[in-house]
Amino acid sequence: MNKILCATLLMAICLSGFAQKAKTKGSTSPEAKDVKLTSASLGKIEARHIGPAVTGGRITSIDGVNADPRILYIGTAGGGVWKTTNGGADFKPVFDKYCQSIGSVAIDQTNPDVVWAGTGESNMRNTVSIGNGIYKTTDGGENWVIMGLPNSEHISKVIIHPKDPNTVFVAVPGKLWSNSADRGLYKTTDGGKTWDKILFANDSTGCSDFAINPKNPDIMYATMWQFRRKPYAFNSGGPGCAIMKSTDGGKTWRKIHKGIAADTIGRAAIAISPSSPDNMVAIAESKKTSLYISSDGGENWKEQSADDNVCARPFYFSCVVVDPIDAKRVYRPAFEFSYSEDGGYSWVRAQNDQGWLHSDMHALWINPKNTSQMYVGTDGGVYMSVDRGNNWIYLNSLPVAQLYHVEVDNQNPYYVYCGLQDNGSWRAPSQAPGGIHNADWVNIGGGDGFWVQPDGEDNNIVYSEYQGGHITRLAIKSNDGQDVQPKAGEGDSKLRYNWNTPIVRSPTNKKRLYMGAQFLYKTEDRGITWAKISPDLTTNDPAKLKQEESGGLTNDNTSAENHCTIFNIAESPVDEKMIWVGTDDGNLQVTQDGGKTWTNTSNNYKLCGVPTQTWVTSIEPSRYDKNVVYVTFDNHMYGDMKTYVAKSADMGKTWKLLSSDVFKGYANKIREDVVSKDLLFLGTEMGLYTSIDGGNNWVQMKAHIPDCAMVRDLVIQPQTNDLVVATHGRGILIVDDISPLRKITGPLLNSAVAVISARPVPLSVGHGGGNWPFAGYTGPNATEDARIMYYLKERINSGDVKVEIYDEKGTFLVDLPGTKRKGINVITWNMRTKPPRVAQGGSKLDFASQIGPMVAEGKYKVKVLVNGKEADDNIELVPDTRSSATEKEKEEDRESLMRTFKMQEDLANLMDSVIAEEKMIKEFKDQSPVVKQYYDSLEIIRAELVPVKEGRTVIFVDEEKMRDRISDIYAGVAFYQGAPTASQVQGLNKLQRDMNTTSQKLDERKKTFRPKVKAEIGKGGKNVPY
Amino acid sequence: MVKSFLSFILLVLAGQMFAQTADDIINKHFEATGGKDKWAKVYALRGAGVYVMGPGMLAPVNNIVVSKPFKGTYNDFTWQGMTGKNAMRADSGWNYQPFGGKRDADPMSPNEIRSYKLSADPQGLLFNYQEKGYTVDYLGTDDMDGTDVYKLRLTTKDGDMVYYYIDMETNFILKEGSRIKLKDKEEKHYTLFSDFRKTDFGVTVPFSQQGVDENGAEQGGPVNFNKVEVNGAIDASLFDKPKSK
Repeated sequence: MNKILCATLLMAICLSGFAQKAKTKGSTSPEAKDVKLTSASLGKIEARHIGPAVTGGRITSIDGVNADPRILYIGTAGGGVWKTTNGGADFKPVFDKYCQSIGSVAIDQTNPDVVWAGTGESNMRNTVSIGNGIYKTTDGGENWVIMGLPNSEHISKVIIHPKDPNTVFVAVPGKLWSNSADRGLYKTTDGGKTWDKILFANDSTGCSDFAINPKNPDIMYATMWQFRRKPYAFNSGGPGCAIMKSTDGGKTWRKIHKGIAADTIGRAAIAISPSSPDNMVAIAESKKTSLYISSDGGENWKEQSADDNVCARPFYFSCVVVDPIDAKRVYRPAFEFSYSEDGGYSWVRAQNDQGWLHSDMHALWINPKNTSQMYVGTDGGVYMSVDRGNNWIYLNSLPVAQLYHVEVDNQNPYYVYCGLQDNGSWRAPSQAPGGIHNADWVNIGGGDGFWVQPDGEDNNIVYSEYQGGHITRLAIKSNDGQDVQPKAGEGDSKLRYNWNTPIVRSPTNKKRLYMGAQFLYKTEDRGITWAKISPDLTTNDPAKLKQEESGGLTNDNTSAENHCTIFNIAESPVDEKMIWVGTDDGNLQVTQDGGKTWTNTSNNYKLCGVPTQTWVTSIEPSRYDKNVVYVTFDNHMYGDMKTYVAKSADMGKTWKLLSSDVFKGYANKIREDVVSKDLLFLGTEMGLYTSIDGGNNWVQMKAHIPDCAMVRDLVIQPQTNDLVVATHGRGILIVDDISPLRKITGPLLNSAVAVISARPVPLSVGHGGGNWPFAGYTGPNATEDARIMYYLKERINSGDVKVEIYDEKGTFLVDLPGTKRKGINVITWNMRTKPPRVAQGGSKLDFASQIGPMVAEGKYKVKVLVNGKEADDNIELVPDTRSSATEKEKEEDRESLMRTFKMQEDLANLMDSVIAEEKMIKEFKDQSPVVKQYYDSLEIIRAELVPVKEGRTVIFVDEEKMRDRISDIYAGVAFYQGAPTASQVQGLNKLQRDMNTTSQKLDERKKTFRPKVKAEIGKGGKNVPY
Repeated sequence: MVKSFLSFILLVLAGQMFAQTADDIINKHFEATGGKDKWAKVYALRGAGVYVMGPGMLAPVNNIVVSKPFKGTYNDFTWQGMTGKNAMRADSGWNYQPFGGKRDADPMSPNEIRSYKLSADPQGLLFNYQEKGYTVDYLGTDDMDGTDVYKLRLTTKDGDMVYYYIDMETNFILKEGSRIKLKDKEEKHYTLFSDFRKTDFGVTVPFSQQGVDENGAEQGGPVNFNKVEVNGAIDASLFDKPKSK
């Protein structure tokens, strides 16, 4: 049948606005094979994206549709590609199945449904992720196909030939951490089917920028960049670097450095004036990074004076743009936003009357139809200007925050705490009225944010840090913070704190906090005193301690390259004396006496195949067995992108590598469940995974989780069983209630149908509160309805799936339509039974017909019926601890609700009588004055009961009749769990009297008129069935 | 200058495979649902059933799709004794929504007509799609809620697109999505299909459909038909705009 009916029905329903241990009793399919857990089995165990978007993440590329500038595509450092169709009022992710690190996006302006996305950003900072090639969509982002360059890892620019959309150029800086021949400038002339590498220098030099003359596309320019990162140093610049020009479409190239003073350059950014293409601007990194201008297509360059911003951090700020129409107007988004009105000779900075424009910019798109309007991509999201870049408006609906870590507390609802790349530290409730709005996020730390720890005893106190281990203890309410960083003591060497310094709570002592430099520190008095409880636990390799020399041509020492530091700390949940420490240079140390003695186990884990010198990215001592520990290792900074996860069952003496064909990306975090010892979660740079058998087999969790999400941290909130996921580009994801994964064992997987009991549900009308449409992104709440979960071995294509609810006595209450997907299905029950039957015959809908009375607290049986098979289990509805209503008040509420329910149905019966009476005489009413008189008197009664005015054309002119007045009180009582107000009770009493009066009136009229009407109609030989 | 000939060959082969496979998949779909000969004779579908509004709330609905003697769609929905309706016939249509007290039918907007027109084909757009002026691309296989599906994209002359998710095992269409480009916006609709049954006429159709959003979340409840009639008598007056009351 046709799909259009659904849309029609939804429109109709919207008018009212009120529409509201696994028990495997089910049959096992006789033909059953042994079903293994797959991603599909997890079904609707899905994530919700709560943001934040109050501040953004790094934006790497922006392109807009010239013919319809409301449509823009945004490339992000860790959140994939986003599309807006309304100029930035909101954004939708369109790249969730693919690599989330984006280098460049480019729209084919001749057919804007065609968009290219080069993956792997090229802002080559320490925490940059990697890509896996170039993708293309031909339907505006609905579907993408990989078109090649799978080993590029980083793409800085995609440029479509101005006259031939099948010809595309891709600038590939290439691998950051290793040599590679897969770099240079690539060209396709057949829409991406084949690629030619048309410019190459050497294995360590790639192409970082590209520009093409729009009027003569045979003329093009490329900048070549030699660069390399190591975990402890960065180098930018070298003999491979050059600004190159071709005048034959890329067949031949020559270096164009006439006028460029430096013999050796580093990263160079170039821009061509679209309206006057011989005019060019270049910013070339050198020992003295300079701005150059050319008026002859790069043949001659002239150095110009430029301020610090124009020449700032050339390896990181590589964007310079000339206005599409005005050749003199040049923009330099960098550390700040600068522009020139004279072709680059002089520069000023944006005015920003509006407030703050986030620093660190990488992308700029100017609307060619209105060059006053432009969008800039920063480390903190996208901003829009309508005055040529002088002032900027933050577009606060793009949730691409880049988290390093996440924590939770034990409040109800619990709060999440997180540290963001270049965007400080924040906290927000996991549930808030109307969803988690931007305004719900509270800033609790500045700089780059990393680890954040709420105090174990006081919800008002939180510890956050900025780069290099600068920890602050903050009293949230008073915003009163104190630097509590451990300092070097007598005889200590200079402390080395990692960029991302661990601050870790003890699982056994609420007062205890750990922090690591090269030594391990412990405090039990909120950071006032720190005890040093270890020697230097790192390799302390002098060759890796030359951070002051890092950067190459431009010295750049921000603590990002700090090395030989502690990177992870974990106290055993079952033995407070047992503490594990992992370092960024491969040491994995353990103490069993609270820090008195330490054992380095790095030589042991190497035997299972983990390379030396790897970063120890997470340590998870088991809460079930002190001998067991899980560790993730990351070797990507040595060019090795494999997933390393290992388990030891003998305190680190021997190790087993946990491997799986489904793993992608280097490993960032492993987390053991808080209830089931065999349930594990793993976050890698390219996805979230789970194992239900202690790590032997793994599946990817994909439901509303980007396939290649950069998962950096995982935590389980023990009261709710929520898995809280920190991503480096998609903010926080919450998988609500992972308890079904504790039950999805072999027998269940082989059941045709099985009900999976979920966590107890607080019986609540909801805490929705104000659902005011605040501007910006709103993260969805977890449903407050009861979640009913059941497993289907196969999708149900034939027949129906019905879910029935029974009370404890076995009385049927209500049925719900079931979903039919393969794996775990999740539907919601609003904990209400069938709504009252309301009086019909009115001229408008009554909303009470869509509100059923809420059931009482207690156990209910859930039965799922599928094509003759069934399964059941119980669901428990428990008191809502957030409600202040007493048991007595709840009882009063229920009594009033059922009284009102009955009144609705009594009124419906009364109305039925009126309608029936009218129906019997309607055809005779114009034939007899008596019949008409009776009919009219019935109409008067009808008009007392329900609205009768017809032909309304405006929505706010209304009638309020007895049905509406009962519904008003009914809704008021139904959506509050405490005792009804005296006024509501009074109102109900009055309505009951009114209804009785009307009922009596009807009886009297029947008594008076029926004999007369019967006689009158009888005269005509007809009869009425009185 | 390095050219990746291997990727070139693979892509060319893949392109050829795609071109063949789209039609193969469509053929398999119609074979699985009654055969092309039977579908060629289908000119009207009429479904009657209920819309499940919520726990214990069932609203009767009717849905008609017809291509002969005219091209049209009709829907109605009854709740609290009131019936909302809409119909599209040829190039015009109307909406009648009495639930707020209104007693006049409103004409459908050109945008609505365009949207409904895409649905006014009882055979489905894929049947003889080339004759109907559409193109179809095979987009590969996908995982749709845990089920392996073929994914097809049908494009109209207006540039509107309809996506089909076809079960690789049964060849039934499990999901349909449309992307309609209106002047100032883009509309997207997604519907899941299930409860496939063979009609008396011999073609198999879904008796249940469920609207979902882009992320697969249910939008309202399902529509469950208890009867689907093929090529039955259609009262043409249903498509006439109701007179004002």
